[in-house]
This record gives sequence, structure tokens and C-alpha cells, in this order.
Amino acid sequence: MLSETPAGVYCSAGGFYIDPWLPVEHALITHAHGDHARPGSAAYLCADASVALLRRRFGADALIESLPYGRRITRGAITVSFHPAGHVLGSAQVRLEGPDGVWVLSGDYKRDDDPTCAAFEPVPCDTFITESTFGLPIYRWDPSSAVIADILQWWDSNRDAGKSSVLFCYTIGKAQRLLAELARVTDRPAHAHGMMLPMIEAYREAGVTMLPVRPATEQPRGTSFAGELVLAPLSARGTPWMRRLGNLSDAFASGLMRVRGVRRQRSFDRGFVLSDHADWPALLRTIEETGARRVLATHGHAEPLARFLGEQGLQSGTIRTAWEGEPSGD
Amino acid sequence: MIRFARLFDEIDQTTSTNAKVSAMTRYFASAPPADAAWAVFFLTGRRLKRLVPSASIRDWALSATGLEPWILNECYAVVGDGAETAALMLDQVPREHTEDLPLAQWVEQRILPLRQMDAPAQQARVTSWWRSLDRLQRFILLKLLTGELRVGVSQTLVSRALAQAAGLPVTSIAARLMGEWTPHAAWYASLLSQAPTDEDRSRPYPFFLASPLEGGIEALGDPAAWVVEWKWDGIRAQLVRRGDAVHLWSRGEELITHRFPEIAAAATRLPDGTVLDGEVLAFREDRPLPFASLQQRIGRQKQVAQLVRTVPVVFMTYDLLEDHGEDIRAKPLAERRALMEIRLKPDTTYGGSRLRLVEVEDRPLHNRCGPHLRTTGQRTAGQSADRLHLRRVARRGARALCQGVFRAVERRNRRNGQVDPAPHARALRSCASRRAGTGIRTGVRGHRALLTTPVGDCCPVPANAAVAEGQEARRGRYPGNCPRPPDIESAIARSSDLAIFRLPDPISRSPDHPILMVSPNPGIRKAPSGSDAAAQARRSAVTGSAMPSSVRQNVPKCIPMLVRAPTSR
Ligand SMILES: [Zn+2]
Ligand SMILES: [Zn+2]
Repeated sequence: MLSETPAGVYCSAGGFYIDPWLPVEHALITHAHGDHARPGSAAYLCADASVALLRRRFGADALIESLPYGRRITRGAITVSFHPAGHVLGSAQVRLEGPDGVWVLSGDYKRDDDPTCAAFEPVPCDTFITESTFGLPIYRWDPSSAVIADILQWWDSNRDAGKSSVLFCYTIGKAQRLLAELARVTDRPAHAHGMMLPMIEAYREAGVTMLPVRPATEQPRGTSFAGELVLAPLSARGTPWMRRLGNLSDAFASGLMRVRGVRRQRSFDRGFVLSDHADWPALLRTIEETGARRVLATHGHAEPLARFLGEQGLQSGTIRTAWEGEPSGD
Repeated sequence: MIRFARLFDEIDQTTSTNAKVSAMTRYFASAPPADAAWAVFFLTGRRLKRLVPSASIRDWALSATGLEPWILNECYAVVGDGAETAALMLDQVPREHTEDLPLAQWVEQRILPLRQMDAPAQQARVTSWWRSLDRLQRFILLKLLTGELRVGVSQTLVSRALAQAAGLPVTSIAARLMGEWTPHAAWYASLLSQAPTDEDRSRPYPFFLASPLEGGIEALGDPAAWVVEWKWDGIRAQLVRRGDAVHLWSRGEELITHRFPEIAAAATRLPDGTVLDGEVLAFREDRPLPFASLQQRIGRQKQVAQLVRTVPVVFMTYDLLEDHGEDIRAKPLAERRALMEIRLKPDTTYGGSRLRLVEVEDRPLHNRCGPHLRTTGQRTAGQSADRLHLRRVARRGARALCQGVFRAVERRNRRNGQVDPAPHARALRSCASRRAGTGIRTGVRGHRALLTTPVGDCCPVPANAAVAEGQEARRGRYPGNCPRPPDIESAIARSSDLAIFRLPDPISRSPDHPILMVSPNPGIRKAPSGSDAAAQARRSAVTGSAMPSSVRQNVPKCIPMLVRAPTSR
């Protein structure tokens, strides 16, 4: 059904690639993160809710077609459909049905509640290609409501101390999820680095309710950020821009922050364990729910996950993709 | 335990030392004494020994989770810490009930008795405890069991927090924390006791350290009011000899006596009630060794005896703060220097040359400011001892740094309050003539630092304001109406053949306490051959970026000088 090629995962029976890392004729895109959606292909196909994000990435000229979740179309000998992956707005699993049975390629996914996107739906299949960014038993997420409460408390105590709260996070998905989750518990406006504004706008246009956001880059010089929450991409860390934020406490919202040493090594004051990827229990649960007899893991801790599944009696292996998962997932 | 876990978390979640100290202060102010005593024990890096091997923890975690050893190894490779790996994996073992035993009970009634048990009994205990703890407490428990709890605060910070909680001087706490003690409530009470203890007698005076000058050179006034002395790259320290005891304090107000037993031994020959300010230097055959040698003496906890032979050290005395039990910091520098020369006379109390008196540049500043400064690198050997040191350093390309220190000469005539530079200039020269390489330092010590600003119109500071101002000075500030110390930096910068180096403080390596080094301009003077990297880095240092210490060690052909403000630490 699928083969690994220099350009990425290829389906010869359907004549398309999935999340290719080189320009190709036909590209199916699971979601808008940089490690999955690369520019330059002749035609893109994605889930409806992903179009607005891909448009912002690829520009007005790119040929982007889309499908609602669940609608089946035929490409060559293959029936193709997209199903919610719960990762970011418009993220999709790709279901392929053909002579080799049903394959589902998960893309990135999570099982936790996320107000910014459609919830993951398990899709029965014979072969399941799962991401494995956090495929080790040390990765286990607390409920996001608890993490959000921690973030709010951190913000509050920084306000009391007259500091700004600089929260680093990914530009697509995490920033909007934070703003949407925070909107459930506070109505204080937040600030965001200029690089984040277009994607926040795209989410707002898609109808996601989020905290009001002010641009943190275009404020006049001398604007005080004391007491404010500022979302920023990791690439802004250590840039001169940071200086205008004054006395600050910084934090990183990522599943990586689960490991104390990682946080300390990067010397963030705080690490909030909030991930858009499945944790270890969610991976195992999902694999079970698909009913797949064969599971291929890709990215992150693919080898240990495959070995673990093998020990559980599943047919398992790994597959190479260019997905980078959370570490640099935009 | 919950309270201690919360403290651990607070300390762990900030990089600010102030926040760490205030978290500890809050803890000490509220924790029961028995718990606080154990907290001090763990915060200061002490360990419970021979409890449970890490391999056991690992096995117990595996049997509690039903996972295979290989996957634990994979996890360990990511986490890099056995106890944390186990605690993260154990997250799948639910917490069944909540129980908050005080830390002291945990340690004394649960953890320590494990020593008397066999492995299965230990496992039964520990795994049942897990069920009452949350993730963080499990992590801390596992760390305590393996004796690996590291909290990320130094003993100095702990002392500071205890001092704040008790309203005592930091040095009292630091002294009381030295040596052997067992953590229990009565000991904790004595630690915070307001009543003086024997340990209090070891306390040093506040340290006053270099900081860059601000403002214009004009404010410096008569250059003759300044002298230059040599500052070596070592560990700034105070040597306290009182009663039968000798204590050596680093500038971080940490006791380092045990690291330098030969200095402590030499100091026993000083009179009772003597406090010297100076620098611990690695020193062999009359010359200093590179700072890296000294670092061996700092880094190793063990093998001190062997290092005493391989890396001998001396105490280079800069100042005498207390003499025969009398605080003489307020006395004019001329008097202090004269006393120093008596106390440290080679034939009596020189301490087998372990205690040395710093050499002072015998020419007043006006000979080295402006156009004359460039001549410092061209002197011939034999003019003064410091110059000899410097030349040796330059000749063999060794890495020890020799730095000139500009310090203000006491200008105020204490008896009548009149400002009268002349007697001091005379005192300086007479001192210098008595002994080659000898000069005069100012009275810029302790709380009196602000009274001795060298320029004529220094505001009179009432004595009772001295303490507050001393604190201000320690924060690097000056009282509003007192003129700022003058800027030698800009004067020297005008001299076209010189470059100004800004470096982190040589001891703390902290950019918060930059010092100023003055060196021949690399653009004019050829870089030392064979060290292009050093020259390159020196050039970048001139443009303002920090110079790595490896390069800093390679610039002896320059004549680096430390410009020291006469105040602030
Ligand atoms: Zn993604
Ligand atoms: Zn990805």
C-alpha cells in the first residue's frame, strides 16, 4: 500500500504522497505543522479545517483542495478519507482502503480534550501507522485543566511580583489551545509575539474562542509588560525583543517539560507539561481501539514503542518519515 | 513532607537566587523545628548514607509497573536520573490515600529504620509508602532513599535564608553550620538562637569587592590620592584568627578553612584577634601558579593532603581589618599598613612564607595615568617585586594574572575632620621608601567605605548612618549626596595605546561584578605569537563581548590592571 521514497511516504496505487518533504505532484497533508506541510507541491489535499492554515503557509497561488472529515473519494485504486486526529485545527488521520486492506496513517494526534479542534476518532484498520513522539512510559499527561490552573497561578504570582510571564509555545496549535483554555478561566487579555498573530487570527476566523490578544511586538517603546502574559515562539528566546519585556519569568509549554532535566538544561523557570501529542497510555489505548493487527511507529521513540507492541503480540515495525514531532514542530 | 516537597518545587522552579532564598525563608519561618532541622540537612547537601541501592529502587519500580528492564533503560536514557525515571514511571501506580507525615517523622521513623531491614522488607515498606504520595513526593522520597537529593541551592543561600528567618548575620549562621551536627529540634533552635555561640567568634567582616567605576575622571581629583597595588587572580578571602581557632572565609561567606590546611596552620602564629583580608593563591617558588591550579584545590573534597604538596598555596594579604581584637577598619590606611608590616614581618609571624603581604606599586597614580601608563610594560627587572612577578609571568608565558589595583588614599584627617592630602602623600612615600614595592592603601573597608571617598568635598556621613550606607554600598549604590567614585576607566581609555577589557569577576566569574582590565591595545602591540585565537578573542573583548577564561589566561603579555572602586562590594 505505502512505500518509503526519498520524497516521503508514497502510495503508488493511488498516485499520491502523504506529508512529503520534497515537492511532488499530489500531496495529502495531515496538518499544517512545518514537518508535515512543506511548500512546493503541485496539488494539496487536506481536511477542510486545515485549508486556512495551509493557505497562510503556502500563499494564495497554491492549489489546495479539501474534504470534510469522513467523506470518501477515490484516487486510482484507493479510497481516501480524512478523520479527526485531535492534534491541531484541521489535523487529520488518513484512511486508505485498497487491495491491501485498510490502512490508517495517524499523522500527529492526541486524545486529550482540546477546544480548538475536532476530537480524535479511532478508525478501525488492518495496519495503523502511529506517531510515537512520546512513546515511552515516562510520558503521561495530567488533565489539561490542571495544567491550565498551574499556568494561571504562575501568571497571577508574576503579576503580584510585577513581572511579565513569558510563555514559549509552538505557533500553530499550542498557542491557540492555551488561549482557548485560558479563556475558560480568565478574561484578561494576553499578548502575543508578532510571529504568532496570523495563525491566531486563522483560528479566530475558524470560530475558536480565545482570550483577546494584543501584539507584543508593535507596542510603543517603553510599554510596560509587567503583570502581562506574553506568548512567544521559542525562536524569540534570547533575542533583543525580550529586553522590552522587563523583569520576567519564562516558561515553556510542551510535553518535553515532563522531564525535569530537560527543563533545567534549557533553564526555563517553569515547564508546563501540555502536549498536542498522545502520551504513552493514549498511544496504547488508540492502537488497541483501531483493532489493527499490524502497527508501524514513526518519529520519536518509534523503536521502543514497536518493540513493546511486539512483546504484546502485535506485528510491529517502524517507518521513516520526516516528522519531527514536538521538538521542532513549529 | 508536603511542605518540604513544596519548598523543593519552589526552589526547582526558579533560576533567581532571591526567589530561592525567599522560598527557604518562608519555609524556615513556618516549619516545625524538627522538620526544619532535616530540611537544613538536605538543603546543605548532606546525605543519608547506606540506605537503599539504586538497583533496588529500579527493581521495585519494575515490579510495581510490570514493565521490562529494557524499556526502563530507554526511559533512563531520556531522563538521565534513576529516581526521576522511577518516579515518572510510577505515575501509573495510583495514589490510594493521602497522608502528610512531618519530614522528621519520615526520616527518623520510616527511612532510617530501613537500614536494619532486609531487601524484601524494605521493598514492602517503600512500595506501600508510594501509595500515599504524589509524583513529586515520590521523587523526593526516592532521592532521599538513594542519598541523591540535590536541591540546587548552595550552603551560602541556605545560610542567607536562615539568617533572614532568624534576624541574625549570615556569617553567624554559616559558622554555626560548619563542622559536625545532627539535625534535631534542639540543634535547630541553637542554630537560630540570638545568644552568641562559640562559632560566632569566627565571623568575618563584610567583604568589599571590586566594581567598575562610573562617572568622569575629573571627579577623581588629585591622582596622587591614589595608589596602585597588585591584585592576583585567586580566591578572595578573610583569614580570621580568634581564640584558639582559625577560620578562612571565601568572599561568598563560605568557610574554606578545611581546603587550605597549610594556611590555617600558618595563621595559628598570628596574634589572637587578627583578621586579614587577602587572596588565596596557588604559589610555588615565589611565583603564583595559574588559577586553574587553584581550582584543583577548590574542586576536590578529598585528597587535600596530597594536593597540599602538589598545589601549594599562600595567603596574599591585602589588608588588616582587626588587630589584637580591635576592629581597625576605621583607622587610616597608613596605620593599618604599618601594622600589617609588623604582624607579617618575615622573621616572626610570616608563617613560613604562607602568609604574604601584597606588594604595592611604589609610584603614585599620576605616574601611571595618561601618557605614563604605557611605560608600565617596559620597565626593567629589579625595580620592584611586583614588577618582577609580572616580568616572570610575561617571560615564561605563564597564565597567572597579575593585576594592578587602584585604590583611593585616605584623604580625611580623622582627628580634625579636615581634608588634607599632603600628610597622606608623605605617608605613602615614606612607606614606599621603607620597603621596595610598598605603598599605602585606603581605608575603604567595611561600613566606613563611604567616608573615605578620595575627593575633597565628600559629604560628611554621620556615623550612625554608616550601617545603612554600608548596606547600600554592598549593593553597589552610593548615598545620594555623596560624589560617586571617579572614573579611572575613561581616563585610561583616552590613552590611545590601551584597550579596556571588561571581564566577569575573576572569582565568581559572574558578569554581575565586572572588573575592568587595562591592557596595551592589541591593535598597536603585537599579539603574543602562536596564539591567534587569544588575539582574536582579545580583539572581540575590546569590542565588548566577554572574553572566555581560557583566553584570559593567555594574555600575560599585556599588563592587566584591575581598577577598583574605593567602595561597594
Ligand atoms: Zn504536528
Ligand atoms: Zn509532527
